[in-house]
This record gives sequence, C-alpha cells and structure tokens, in this order.
Amino acid sequence: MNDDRAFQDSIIRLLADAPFRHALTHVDEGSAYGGMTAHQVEGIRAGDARRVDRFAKFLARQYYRDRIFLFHKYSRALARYTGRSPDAVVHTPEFDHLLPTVILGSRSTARDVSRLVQAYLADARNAPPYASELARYENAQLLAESGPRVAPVTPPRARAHLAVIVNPDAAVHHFSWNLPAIFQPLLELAALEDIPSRPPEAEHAELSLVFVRSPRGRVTVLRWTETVETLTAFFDGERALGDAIDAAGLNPRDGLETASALLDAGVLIPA
Amino acid sequence: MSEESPTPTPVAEAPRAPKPRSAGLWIGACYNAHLGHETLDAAELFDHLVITDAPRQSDPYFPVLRERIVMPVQDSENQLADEIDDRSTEALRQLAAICNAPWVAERVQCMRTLDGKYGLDCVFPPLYTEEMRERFANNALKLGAALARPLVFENVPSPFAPATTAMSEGKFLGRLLQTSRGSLQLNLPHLWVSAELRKLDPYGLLHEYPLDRVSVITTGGVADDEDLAGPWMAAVPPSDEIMEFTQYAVDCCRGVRAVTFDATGPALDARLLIGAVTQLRERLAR
Repeated sequence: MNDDRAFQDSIIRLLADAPFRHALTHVDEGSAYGGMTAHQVEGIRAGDARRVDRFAKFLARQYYRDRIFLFHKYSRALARYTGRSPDAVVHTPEFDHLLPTVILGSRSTARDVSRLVQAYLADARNAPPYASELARYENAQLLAESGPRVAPVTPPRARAHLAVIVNPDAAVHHFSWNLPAIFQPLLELAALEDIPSRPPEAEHAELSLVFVRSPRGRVTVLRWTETVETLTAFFDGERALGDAIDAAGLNPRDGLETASALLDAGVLIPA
Repeated sequence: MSEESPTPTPVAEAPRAPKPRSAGLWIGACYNAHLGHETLDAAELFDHLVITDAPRQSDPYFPVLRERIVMPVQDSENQLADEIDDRSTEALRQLAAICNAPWVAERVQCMRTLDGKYGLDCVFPPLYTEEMRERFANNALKLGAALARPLVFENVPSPFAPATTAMSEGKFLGRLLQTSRGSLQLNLPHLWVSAELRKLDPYGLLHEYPLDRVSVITTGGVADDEDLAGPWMAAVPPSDEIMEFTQYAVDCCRGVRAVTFDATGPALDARLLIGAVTQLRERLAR
C-alpha cells in the first residue's frame, strides 16, 4: 500500500473509531501512533479537530439511524400505536453517552445500540405483547450485519468430503411468538391512512431462528430446526460433511441439501 | 431535446429509449423503486432516470420505464481509490447493460479502509494528492474498459480539509480528467455542503472545478444538521438559493447536457419528487 492510501485509512479510522480518535488527541507530541508517523499525527492534529469530531458524531448517528430504519421496520410500523419509532433512539441522551465508545460497524457497538433500542421500546405505551420479541428479532439482524466488511463471495458447494464448522458469528435465538406471521400485516399498516384500533395479533409458537451474515454479504435468518441442531453438533472442523450426515443419522441426500442451505446462508463455513 | 449523449465519447450501444423530447437539457431524477407507479404516471417529466441500485425482479415499473426513458447508472458503492474487484465490476457491467446506460457515474470517494475493517457508509473524499490521483486514474481506466461505456466522475462533499491534502478537489478532478478520458458530473449539493461547512463562498468554489468538462449537473436539497452545525444533503426540495445556484452553474457549464434531481430513499415521497423535477424544468427551460 502506498503512503497516502495508508494515511487515508487512518483518516477513515479516525472518523469511525471514537476511542482511537480520543487516543490520538492525547498522544505525546512528536510520537507516532496507530500506524501513523509522527508527521502524520501532527498533520491530523493541525487540521480542524473540532470539525472532525462533529463529522464523526454525525456519521455515528446517521450510520445507526439508517440501520435501525432498515432492520426495525416492523417495530417502526408499531410506532403508529406506541408513538415510539425505534430510529429516534439515536437522538436520545443515552445514544449521546454512547458516542465516545462508538466504532462504526463493530460488533461491540452493534450490541450496545441493540440494548438501547430494546430499552427505548420497552416501556412504550400500547405496545402489543409480542413487541419486545419483535425488537429482539430486529436487533439480532442488526448484530448479524455488524463486523468487518468482506468482499462478497459465492458460497462453497456442499460436497461429502468438505469439512465445515458452524460460523462462530451465527446466533440462535428462541422466540415464543410466531413473529414471521405478523411481518406482512405490520408492513401493510404503513400503507394505510387509517389504521385499525389495535395492532395485528400474533399467535404463541415456539420458534428458534439462526441469524448470520451470508458469504454474499446479506443478513439471513433461517429456522433452527431439530434436524439442523442435530446435524451441526457433528461439525467439528475435522469430520467430512458426509461422515457428519451419517453420524447424525440423516438420509445422505437430505443431509447434503440441508448442509447446502446452511452453507449458502453462512451458518456453516469451511473449516 | 438534444440528441447528443451527455458524455463526450459515444456509447457502446444505442439507447433503447426514445429521443428526449424538448430542445436543450435533459431533466431527470434518480429512480426510486417505491415511487415506480407515480414515476410512470409522470413519465413525460423525466428525460432520464438515474439507476442507483440493481432493480428488483418484483418491480413491475422498471421494465416499462426502461423502454421509455434513458437510464444512466450511478455507482455509489465502489471506490476508485482501490481496484474494483471482478465481481463488483461484473455486477456494474450487467446493471449498465440492463439499463442500456449512456454513462456510468463514479463518485471520487474513499470511505472504506483497504482491509474492510473500518467504513463510514457515507460519501467521503480521498486525500487530494498526486499519489491518490494516480490510483484513481489507473482504476478508472480499468473500470472504463470493462464497462465499455463512458465514465463520469462526481465530486463529493468535503466536511473538512486534512492539513496534509495537497490540492483542492477541483484541481484533483481536473488532473484526473486529463488522464482518464471521462467527464465531470458536478454535484451541486455536495459542493454547497463543502462550501458551507468550510465557510467558503459556493460561487467562488464552483470556479475551482473544470467547468469545461462538466457533462452532467446534479442538484437537490440540503438541510441543517445539529451535529455538523451546518447543512448536509437531504431528501427535501432544492431551496431558492440552490435553484439559483443550479441555474448559475448550468450557465457556466457550456457542455452540460443533463440535470438530475438527486434524492433517494424510502422517506422520499412522490409529491416532493414530481414537484422538484417540475420546478427544475420551469427554472431551466430554455
């Protein structure tokens, strides 16, 4: 990498990583820091630090507002009853308090923002009984989307000799409401001028879902069935896919089909 | 309406859409799939619709509009600071082919680190240095060859100027254009925001750009942001000040062939879109 491109990376990090920004402003004069030469550190300090800080805060609010807007669309639909839209959390004092720790796109910040959204929606008036689980579902998507960007790739094909592991970033969540059944009715609310007096009702149902970012870069949600759970228990990174399917007692064709869907979604990754 | 393409070099294939209607500039907007129905209803208003995302198969309006209206492509995802990988290049090539795009616009931006660990998810300028210009020029030449369509380069807002930057954005773009055979898409809200945030006169800043190489002008609204203590681009109608600035820029750029109302996003409503394009047509009617 040439010098200017590396320095550009430092400027991007300066805006994306609040603790890095704070540390840079407190490093001793004439010192190198974070892969930057002392000259570059001074170059950044000689710039308009206040404007850098303002822009970084703007970026943080915009970054998480956009993601909450995207992933929390069902909770947003409920805002017509609750009066509380999840994306408004970025304008609360609690979000302001988070700003000094924000690292755009990181798992840790996604986790912190999820907690804020959950708390922000928790005491909303007129919320239906499933509202909290709905927010948890949406937060799981927000979390799955976080982490370093990698170039999208085509998932590997499921072959009997392939050794795989369960993606450590895949997260299984258990729900007690049939959430997918109310997604469409909730979205339809947005198009209505006059809404029904009550939000759509959901039915109780035990539901386990796995959330992960796919090799193509999309957030995917799959049902975590007993078959999937049984099968994935045999993926230790050494055992071939075919052997794991045998050990799980599955029909080889069905096992490969399931493994193929899991590889496609990113739940399984090559060992 | 002119029969010329808004870029100086010929397109690879002739546009499928009919010739633009009235004499003078093409007036258009970005295509917003959620407003497909309203856009089709008002199709006479749009000489071009800029495609910013791959159309969804479930969008019934895109194929109809494609038959009637010219569709340039705007790539806001990639950054020419780095070589664009084969997969992204192919996706862009396919999109341009589907749209039969007369040009593809690339923002002169660098918003992600090379290792993908940090990204701003927001338009952000590169350091304006010779080294970076060379990177952009090399990558643009490769992309242009792969797309086999004219590239136009778009300026981006500079919320602050790093002390180490070597030249202005205008000078950087001028030099880039000398070596990369493209033309300039002058984004006026971007320029306006740069000027306001850095306490510069937008009219003065405008003249730092190679105005003789401008083929497309983009305009739109800005709104004040509390964090920035200044404006940023927003899906709002262009203010009278920006409309006046747009008129001025069009008069300064003798080679401009298209003006685009730049607003996208789910919050954009049809009334705003149609109103802004109508306003542009009235203001820029020649």
